[in-house]
Amino acid sequence: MFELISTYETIQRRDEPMVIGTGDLAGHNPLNPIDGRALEKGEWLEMDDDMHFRRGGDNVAGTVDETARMAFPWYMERGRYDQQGIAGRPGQIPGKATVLYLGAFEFETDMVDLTGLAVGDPMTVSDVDLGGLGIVRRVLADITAAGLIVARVGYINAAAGTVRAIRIYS
Amino acid sequence: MSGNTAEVLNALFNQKIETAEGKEKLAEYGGTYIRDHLREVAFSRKVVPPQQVTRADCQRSVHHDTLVKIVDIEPQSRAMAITFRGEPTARYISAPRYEIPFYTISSEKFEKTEQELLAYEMPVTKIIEDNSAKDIQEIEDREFTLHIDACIEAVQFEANGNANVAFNRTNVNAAAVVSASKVKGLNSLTLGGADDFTVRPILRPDIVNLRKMLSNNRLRPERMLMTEPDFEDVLQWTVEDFGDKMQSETVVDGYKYNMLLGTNFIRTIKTDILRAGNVYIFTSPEFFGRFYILNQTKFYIDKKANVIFWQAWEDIGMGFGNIAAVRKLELYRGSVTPTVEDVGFAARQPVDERDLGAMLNRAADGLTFPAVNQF
Repeated sequence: MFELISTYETIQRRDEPMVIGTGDLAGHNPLNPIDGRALEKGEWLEMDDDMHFRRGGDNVAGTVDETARMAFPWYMERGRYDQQGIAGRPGQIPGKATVLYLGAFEFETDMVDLTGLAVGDPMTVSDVDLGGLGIVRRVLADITAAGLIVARVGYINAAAGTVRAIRIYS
Repeated sequence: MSGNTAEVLNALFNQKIETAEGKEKLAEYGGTYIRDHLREVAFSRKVVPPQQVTRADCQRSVHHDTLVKIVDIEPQSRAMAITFRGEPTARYISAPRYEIPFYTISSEKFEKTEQELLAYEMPVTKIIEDNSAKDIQEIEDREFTLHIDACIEAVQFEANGNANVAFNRTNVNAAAVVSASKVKGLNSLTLGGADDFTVRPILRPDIVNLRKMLSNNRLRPERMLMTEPDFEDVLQWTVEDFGDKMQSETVVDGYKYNMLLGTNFIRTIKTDILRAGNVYIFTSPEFFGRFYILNQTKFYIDKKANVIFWQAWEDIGMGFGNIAAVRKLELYRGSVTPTVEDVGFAARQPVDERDLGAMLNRAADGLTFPAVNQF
């Protein structure tokens, strides 16, 4: 779950081709809704050297924080037809990823590891196995020394497992 | 443009935003500027003419707020000879169908202050508006080209034992790859040299071989798509290809017919999308697929304080339910087959979307002649 609290109108979105990232297993397509590693709304994508979006990390829970590349929340629902309709080169992932690209905004999400988080804390993007389901996702987590800050905690609902946060880059 | 001062144009820009009359007047001021490159309407629309659909024709999803249109594909059936006492085998009918998803193609979001518009003696908003419609159709063509390449490669993949086998001169000459949905030009199959991406001129037998890829599969070739540079090579055909009458005609007027070897052909100047050396042949659309328009191109223009914004977009869907209804002729030696491409294959693939619209002129670098310096 990833819901905007701020108005959508003031946030600049960006559509770029999606490529297989370091966090994807070979043969998987994160934009295919029936793929076992399909993206979920609220996952964060990093931008590669060619300004394409990709899933970062190494697909191992707790190992890789986003330290060097800008990351953005994937603002789509799994399986959207408009994303599936856009072509890609044969052999590459078809479709584009739409992310929330520029501008500060407030949001609420359950795609977060609440461990160690307190109100006001900075958060980074990390490999997390949410709910212990064996599926590693690139979601928000408490920051390590090296992680880039992508948001700060505004409110924690521990019972619901959600956080309300403000997008900030530093 | 002596009478069309910047002041007049500025007034017209403002009228355009506020009245329909101004928009019409702006059109009168076109044609007074240097054009950078040719823009043309979509070739995809000539291969599969678009059909207008409405929300009522589409289906939504329970998971998100986007739309598809479901298209039926004819069911399988056959007949059989039987004796007077015999009985035909049964078939429980289950016709396949497929979904065509809709998405948006948009121009850039253009912005300019009204003060800076005064510096232009051409109706820049009008020019961009006109060009945006064709820019949008360029993206239609790019999407179309990628989709038909996907059809081609899917047939090749299946015919080669569910494997990507490089479709290059070496493998074709060694009969190491099945030629199911694409064929190499005869000029590219000559011995010696590398599997490169130099485009060799198209020959008459190449078109016949391409046509046969459909006619050998109970499909009729209806439309052929090629680039202008590849078509220019048709003009090199000799009297043995054309015959005496056509050769005389062609040497004076060029080739002026809409058909070539019994096939309607479509030429395109968009060589950054349909790269030279790639020739496609299609059945009629009813055997191939559909191109739907959910919302025709819309143009939005607004002014906030002194900043003018404008943008154009359309909502379309295209889908091809019969991947066997398109075949391809490759006039180069190398392989563009996914995962087994030869070095340099990108020269025969559509350029990246962000690289479309590149300017040919170098005026921004001061390269106009004679060069005039201001002091």
